[in-house]
Amino acid sequence: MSGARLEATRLHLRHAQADRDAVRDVTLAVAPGEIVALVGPNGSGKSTLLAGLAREIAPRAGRVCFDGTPLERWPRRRLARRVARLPQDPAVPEGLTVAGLVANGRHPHVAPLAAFSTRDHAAVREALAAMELGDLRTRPLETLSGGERRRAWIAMVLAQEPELLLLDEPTAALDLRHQWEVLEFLARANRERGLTIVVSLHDLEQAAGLAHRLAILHRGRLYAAGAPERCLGEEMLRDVFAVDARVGKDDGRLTLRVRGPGDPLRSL
Amino acid sequence: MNFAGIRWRTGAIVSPGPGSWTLLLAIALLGSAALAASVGAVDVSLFDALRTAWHPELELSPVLRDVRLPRVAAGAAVGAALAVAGAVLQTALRNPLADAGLVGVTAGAGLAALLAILFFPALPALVPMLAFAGGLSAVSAVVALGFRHRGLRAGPLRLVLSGVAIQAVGFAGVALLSFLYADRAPSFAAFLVGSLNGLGWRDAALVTVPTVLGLGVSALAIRPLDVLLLDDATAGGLGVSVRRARLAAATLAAWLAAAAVSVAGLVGFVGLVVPNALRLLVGPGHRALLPASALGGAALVLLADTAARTVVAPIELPVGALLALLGGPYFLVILWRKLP
Repeated sequence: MSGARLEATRLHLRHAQADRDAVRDVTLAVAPGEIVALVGPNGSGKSTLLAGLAREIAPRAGRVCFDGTPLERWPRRRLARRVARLPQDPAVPEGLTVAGLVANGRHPHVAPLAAFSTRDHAAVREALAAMELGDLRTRPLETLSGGERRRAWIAMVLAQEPELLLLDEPTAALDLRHQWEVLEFLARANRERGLTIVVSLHDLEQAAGLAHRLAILHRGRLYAAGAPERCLGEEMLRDVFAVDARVGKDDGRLTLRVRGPGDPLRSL
Repeated sequence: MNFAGIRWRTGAIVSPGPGSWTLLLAIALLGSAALAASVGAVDVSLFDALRTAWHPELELSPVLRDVRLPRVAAGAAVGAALAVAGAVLQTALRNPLADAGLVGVTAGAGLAALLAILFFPALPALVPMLAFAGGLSAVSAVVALGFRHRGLRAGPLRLVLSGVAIQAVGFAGVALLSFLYADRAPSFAAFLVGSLNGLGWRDAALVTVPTVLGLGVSALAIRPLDVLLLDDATAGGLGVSVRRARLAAATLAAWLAAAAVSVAGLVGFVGLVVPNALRLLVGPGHRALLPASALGGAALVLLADTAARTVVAPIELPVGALLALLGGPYFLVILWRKLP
């Protein structure tokens, strides 16, 4: 599959006011066409790692390269044409319509004074169609339901036509149906457009169902990375998530049953 | 039925689109300009004035030529500049209450104007120029302070707080000087309340030229400003350097506001009320909001100035005071409606 690799090498990340690193010594490569899910308990560094991969936080040590070039050496707009980023819960500007939001996705592609080309209009239309937002295009965002709004944001980054998409917990605070829809849309974009996806998820079953590989974070470090069947084990659940859980299989998908707290000593 | 883009449906007005609002505002601006030109201590027939265009042997009424028209031009430019400056700043600082005062423009311009009045009384032409320079240097100081911190979160709050500090220093200087030289600064009162009284063609040029330039640049800023409506992380992901964009937007707004303040003094509330009101009509997208603000701001200042000249004629009230008088309550109504 065509596209470029995203590579983090011995990456250390620290927030502006913090006195210690939120991500420590993480080395992770994402191949073109791959879906990698970042999982881990609260505070394990998932969001921070995504921010680092999106150039939002500069590395304190180590580096992140896209297509062989460190992120900070990329001109911003050129990078934004290939890498899109959706934060966890973006603020909604009042009065902005769905179509208005999605049109912003074309920003890196359009010169400052130029009008939208037919290609730009087509990209916006396709993104709206892919997220099934055609009927809602003139509605202000604040009048939408949580699921519709999330779809509008995803449509915006789809209109950006990136080859790599970084998403922070796209299913958070959605009901089951909308969670399923978002995951289904992501899987389809990966299948049909070859979109590379790095996504942080809370639900391990969802992550295992969607991703080709899991990257499990524990206290800022990469605990394990690999195919879901390989690294979603009972020992990992005890070590990282501090639960005693059984991993099973149902209809070809991994399932999880938590039986109680893990041995607290093991998680130290 | 379709009239001026408004669809009428059995008596109820269906909300018109942004394009038709812009058209309506343009018509309102033309109307208020015509009103401002013809009404006053001497009523001038616009019909006669238009006839001089075809009949070179007729002379344009001197009242119109030397008094009304420059005042209309200056008033329209002042209104457009202040309203667009407000719209740009509100987006850039992500604060619906932002206006030129908040980033120190008015304090800087006021202090510089007062210094010019006090120490170069023989050179009244210097006042607007120094005010323009003063407004810009105050903003530069605010921006330098606000962006000094090279960390990631050098956000709008830092800029606003620096602005408040610079503003306090500037106004303290103004207060001290007007206290020490109370006898020598009579014309300064007009500057403080904001007024278009006695503006000639030179003043009109002084505000119109930088305003037109600034409006031209703001057309370039439409798409980056749209992206700045989103939060920093999203805007960064779309390829916008948020810090740089915010800095550029603040500078643009300061340029526009300084141009307006330099000839009209501290005309308040236009930058606050006009963009906020128009956002409710045309939405937050800048392709519609900036032109609408320019037209609406110009029309509002012209109407307010016409009222200021005629309500208690022959006394000419300062337009700034009148605008604040109208703007304050209007703003409260909006707030009450919007707050739960």
